Amino acid sequence: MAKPSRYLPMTKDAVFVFSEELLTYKFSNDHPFNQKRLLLTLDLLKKRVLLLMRISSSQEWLPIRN
Amino acid sequence: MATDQELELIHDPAYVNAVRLAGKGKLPKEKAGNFGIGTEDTPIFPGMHEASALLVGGTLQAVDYVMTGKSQHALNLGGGLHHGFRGKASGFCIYNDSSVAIKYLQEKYHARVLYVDTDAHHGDGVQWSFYDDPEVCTLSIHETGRYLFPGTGNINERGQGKGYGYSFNIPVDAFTEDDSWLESYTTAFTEIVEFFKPDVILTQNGADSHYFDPLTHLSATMRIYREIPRLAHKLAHQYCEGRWVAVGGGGYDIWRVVPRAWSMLWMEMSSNPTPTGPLSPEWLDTWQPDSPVTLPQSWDDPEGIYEPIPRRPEITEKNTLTVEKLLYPIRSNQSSSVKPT
Ligand SMILES: [Zn+2]
Repeated sequence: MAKPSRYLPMTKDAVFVFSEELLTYKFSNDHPFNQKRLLLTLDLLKKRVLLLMRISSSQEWLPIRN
Repeated sequence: MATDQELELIHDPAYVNAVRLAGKGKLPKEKAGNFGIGTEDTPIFPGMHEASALLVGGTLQAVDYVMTGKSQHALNLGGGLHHGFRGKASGFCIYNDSSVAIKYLQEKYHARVLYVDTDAHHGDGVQWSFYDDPEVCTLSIHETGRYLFPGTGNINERGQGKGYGYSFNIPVDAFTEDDSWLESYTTAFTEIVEFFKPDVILTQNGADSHYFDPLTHLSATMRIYREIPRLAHKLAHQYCEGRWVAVGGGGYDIWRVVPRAWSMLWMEMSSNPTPTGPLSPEWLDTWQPDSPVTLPQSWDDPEGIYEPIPRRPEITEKNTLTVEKLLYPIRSNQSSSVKPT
């Protein structure tokens, strides 16, 4: 697979669409559908994994439009 | 946030209006029932229209990134609400971001879409939305509906009219384990993508097939969450020039299963090696105090998280047979097409 270059505007490998507002999809405190799992995931990615990722060139975090 | 016009690619304007009113506390109870909201599964909450439209917007944004070539792959873990219907909420899902996204892919990009749903529950909302459409192919692998919501997803649900033959369902037996689950998934996905030759793949990544999930009865481990995105990634490059959009979905063990499963998904999408070994001690220290269960210590599950399944050989054989039956029509087509005429 093509690796993004530093010098050319290239296609990114992957974007991660995220907004804290996704957590407003919440039925109640004891409902099994619980978007806190998004925070747990992001936190796991940040602490363990983002350090290993080439975020600067090939990935982008994208806030959801409006 | 998705506009009303975008939501109405799939949803009834009357339903969108009802959800909006409900979120403002202005929908009478007797009306809410008709739209599947205000139920025990899908209660009304303030701002429910905005929250639901936002996650649909996220999936559309992921689609735009991929289809305009800004990115090869895009992930919206807030999406994957596959039970939402045209005019009715169901099973925790209000608007169906995947259905809207598929219609949007068709109208804006004239794309043929392969939808692959690995949630433990049948992807009914998406299937029924495109049941008569041969330009959309759906594959759902889920626990059999015999004991589990929504009860559909039988192998003989193959589509209707022109869409007949473009809807695929693998209802695996309760207590299905990694090997049998993965064999079913790999065989079906590999042959269906070759049969359908999509322009883009949309995967729904519900993480509720794990043994720990409290709502389902499968016996999978983290192994499937490493392999699911690996195959999707490979096939997206092989057939779609990389075009792959992924969304979240179910997943009710939010402590022990979902964070690991969805981190694996992102690592795979972003072409990093999927992690192995111990989990971050900082992450464990941060969250263990809040967690009602002991958090896992490593990316993979150790052996023996569940008692051996006595019916394993029967379950495996049954699933193998299901996949053979499922793929029979596309296999017999292939062999007849190479016969001399
Ligand atoms: Zn599910």
